[in-house]
Amino acid sequence: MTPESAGPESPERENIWLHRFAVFTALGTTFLIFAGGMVTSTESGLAVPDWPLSYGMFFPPMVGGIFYEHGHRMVAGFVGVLTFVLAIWVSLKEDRAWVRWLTLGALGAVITQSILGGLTVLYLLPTAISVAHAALAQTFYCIVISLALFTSPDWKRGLPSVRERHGNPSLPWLCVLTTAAIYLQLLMGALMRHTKSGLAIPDFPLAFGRIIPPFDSGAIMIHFAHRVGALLVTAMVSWTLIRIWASYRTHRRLLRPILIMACLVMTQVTLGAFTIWSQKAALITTFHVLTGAMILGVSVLLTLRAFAMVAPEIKARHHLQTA
Amino acid sequence: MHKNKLFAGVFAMLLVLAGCGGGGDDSSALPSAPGGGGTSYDSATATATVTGNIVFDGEVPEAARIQMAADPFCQSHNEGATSEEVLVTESGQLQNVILYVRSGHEGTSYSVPSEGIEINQEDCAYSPHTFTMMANQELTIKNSDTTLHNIHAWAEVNTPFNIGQPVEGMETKKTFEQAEMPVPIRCDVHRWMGAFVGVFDHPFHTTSGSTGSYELKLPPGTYEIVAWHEKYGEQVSTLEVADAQAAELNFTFSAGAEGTSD
Repeated sequence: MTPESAGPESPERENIWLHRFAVFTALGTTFLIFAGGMVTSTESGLAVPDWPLSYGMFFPPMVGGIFYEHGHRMVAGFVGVLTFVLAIWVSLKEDRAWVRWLTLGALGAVITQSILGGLTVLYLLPTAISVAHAALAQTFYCIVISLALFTSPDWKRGLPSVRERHGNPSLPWLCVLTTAAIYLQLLMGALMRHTKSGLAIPDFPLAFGRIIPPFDSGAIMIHFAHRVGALLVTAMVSWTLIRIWASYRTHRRLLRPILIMACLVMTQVTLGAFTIWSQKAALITTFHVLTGAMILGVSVLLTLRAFAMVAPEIKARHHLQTA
Repeated sequence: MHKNKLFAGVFAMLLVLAGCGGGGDDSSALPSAPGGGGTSYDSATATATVTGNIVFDGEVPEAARIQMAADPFCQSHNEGATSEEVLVTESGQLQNVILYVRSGHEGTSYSVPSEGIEINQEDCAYSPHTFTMMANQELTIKNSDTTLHNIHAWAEVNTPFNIGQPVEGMETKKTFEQAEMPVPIRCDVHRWMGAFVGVFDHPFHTTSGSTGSYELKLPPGTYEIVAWHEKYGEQVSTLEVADAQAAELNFTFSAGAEGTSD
């Protein structure tokens, strides 16, 4: 029975709605990252000086920087409620214990995230807390995307096994390396934003008219490290794309995510350039942050699928024989 | 430093969660400025008068128009507002310059004035735009607008603060405990709102205000006098004054070059 033909009260139908809810939570988190990016891009992080209330109110006038800061808090609260509902739903209906634990992890992450957000306001944006807030946002995003995948009928039916062709590292571990490179790059981006190093190198593609800039300040070093990180991520995504195209291109579950990643990386490099050329225009800078998060999210998705699908040759043969 | 802040943050959070949180306003005024020592200052000894003009040399840059559409109140109450960064009088004198003695005053302890200083938020602008005060002198921050503001002091030597004033007529008392020059003040709600305060451990400071001129009362001695502007930086001049002397010291700021004093 396909999920679509399941009756309205069947467990499968209910699971579809759980999956859809997890997807909705992931989409809400995507918008939350955009809203958070706008707070930093418009330098509105301290427009509301108190927390958890805003000027002692639940809903202050949405003027000036308050629109971005309090708007971010509202979206965050909404995602927090979604995560709470998801945790309850999963704990009641999900048989797999590790999925229940993962959902609890998401709930813990969103609570910790809200506390970090409050602390960074109360302590006037200390870099360590602000960067931790940005890093946990990406981690939470990865968890929610994973939950959306794990609750999908496709995943629960079991993804088709694919025999591993060649290569060292194997495709799953190559995906892990790519994801790690993206995550580190996002951390470096967060450090650059919160140390106000975004325009420390004012030109692009050169740096002060040179390939390697003079490292006169920490800000220049951080900024240049982010550019080097972009090259590294581009190389890793290209490597993964070449591997999948060469050996797994008939498998759309692997091909589609890496093609999306490749497009996103090209978009991201363009946005990075325009971030500098526009002197950090708020919308462009924020879309740069958002696209970075989306690259990470798709990379996590691809990595999980790669681990589920690509099996060593012996294991794959056994699977095919028993199927 | 960040590690300490992180620990402080976590500790403060635990206090709040345990219901022990809270804390008072740090607005209590202390009787004397730090960094003094030696003999007590007697204002009657300040018999020398230094006056001068802050001359602006060159073409006055056009003041940028401020877009206040983000807050309807500001837009309706301050339509056509322009940046206060560079204001020059009709006679060519630069406003909002902070003037102060950097050296020559040491070895004396100075008492903090009992009267406070006030900065007002009116029509979504700070008044005054620049001002000076002594360390531990009381600063009253007032909101005269029917919109809300936050007052964010970006201090580095002193403890920075960020407070909200959501209600018209609200007043908050604050002090800076250490000398620091300058301390930028910003409203993060209305990004165009900015002011600067110079905090000193002595009473020899003033601003060129709206006239572009100044007057300092000094005891006899030799002083290094600084004129500071938010865009054009600082000019420094050394001056010796005798008892009851009236001295003139002008500073020149140029739009494109280093200024001079005479």
